[in-house]
Amino acid sequence: MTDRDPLLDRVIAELKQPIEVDPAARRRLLDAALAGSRRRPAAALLRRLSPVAVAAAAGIVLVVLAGPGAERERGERWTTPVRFALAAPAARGVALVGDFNDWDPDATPLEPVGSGDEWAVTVRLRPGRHAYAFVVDGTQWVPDPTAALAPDDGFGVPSSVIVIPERM
Amino acid sequence: MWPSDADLVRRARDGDPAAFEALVDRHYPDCLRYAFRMLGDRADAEEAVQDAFVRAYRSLWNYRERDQFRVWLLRILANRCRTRAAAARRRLRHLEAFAASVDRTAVAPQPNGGFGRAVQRALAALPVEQREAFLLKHVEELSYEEIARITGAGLSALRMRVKRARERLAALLEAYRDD
Repeated sequence: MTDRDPLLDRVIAELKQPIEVDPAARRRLLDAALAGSRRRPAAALLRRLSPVAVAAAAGIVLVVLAGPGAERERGERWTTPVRFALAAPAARGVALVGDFNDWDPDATPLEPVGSGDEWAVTVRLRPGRHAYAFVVDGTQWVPDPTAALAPDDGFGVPSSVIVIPERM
Repeated sequence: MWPSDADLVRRARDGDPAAFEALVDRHYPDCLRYAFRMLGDRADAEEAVQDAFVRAYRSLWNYRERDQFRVWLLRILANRCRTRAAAARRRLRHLEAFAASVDRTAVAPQPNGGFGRAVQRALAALPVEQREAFLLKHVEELSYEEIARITGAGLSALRMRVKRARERLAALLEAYRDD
């Protein structure tokens, strides 16, 4: 039995306060979960098909749903190619960091384009909201000047945000 | 009559979107609260909850009715939160490496937002495993056996995590004891 502590009781009561649900977030969730299976979840279909039929159906789904640029990652969620670019004429190197590459400045270097004034890279992103930034010359943290700023997340350095919609 | 979670799961498995929607409405608030308390960021929490429900929906065939749906769902959500918390820690480390290039005057300390903010800050100061165990035990009111199924940790380790979390939170929030 744990000893009662009035301070901790107060802490727990505070933590139990509900967080107001954003109806838009609930709608996004349902759209994401039910997309592509409006009539029946994939699990229900798969349980009713033989392994051969499942394999054949998977091939058909890929052909039918894979529009230009879209790919399915190991049968998981769709990814969309996104080009990130930054004008940085004096830079010696530019990297892309974001929640999609664990903010690793070595993971996604940009390449100089044309005369080298612009740096760019294309990465495939899953549907959802992604925060990201550029790192110039390994030292300067630069948000994307063409994108919306992400809300302050307490890290104290601004980053940008991009939202990839679910494929319907 | 109020359908059980097991009834709703059966109907959702058979392709009834309204049944899945009912499961979402029943469990979303607790999931959002857990994710927000774990991650400290509303957008991150909403993404983690969405991710957990999408994975749950695609794995309904894998759900066994002897398990409580809530515990099964929280296990998926706890995994998503752990992954996101780890990414946030990596991000913080990288940011610290760039600290010299950042205008620190732009990072003014936040004014004290009262007890609620102090609690969230204290919670964020706990190691992820302690925060997770404390929230599942005292806020989501699960048994240690259920928490063990969610986290994969042993009962003794979980009791120790909760004990340490309680001690640390009490120490961090001592200034509020006589409020």
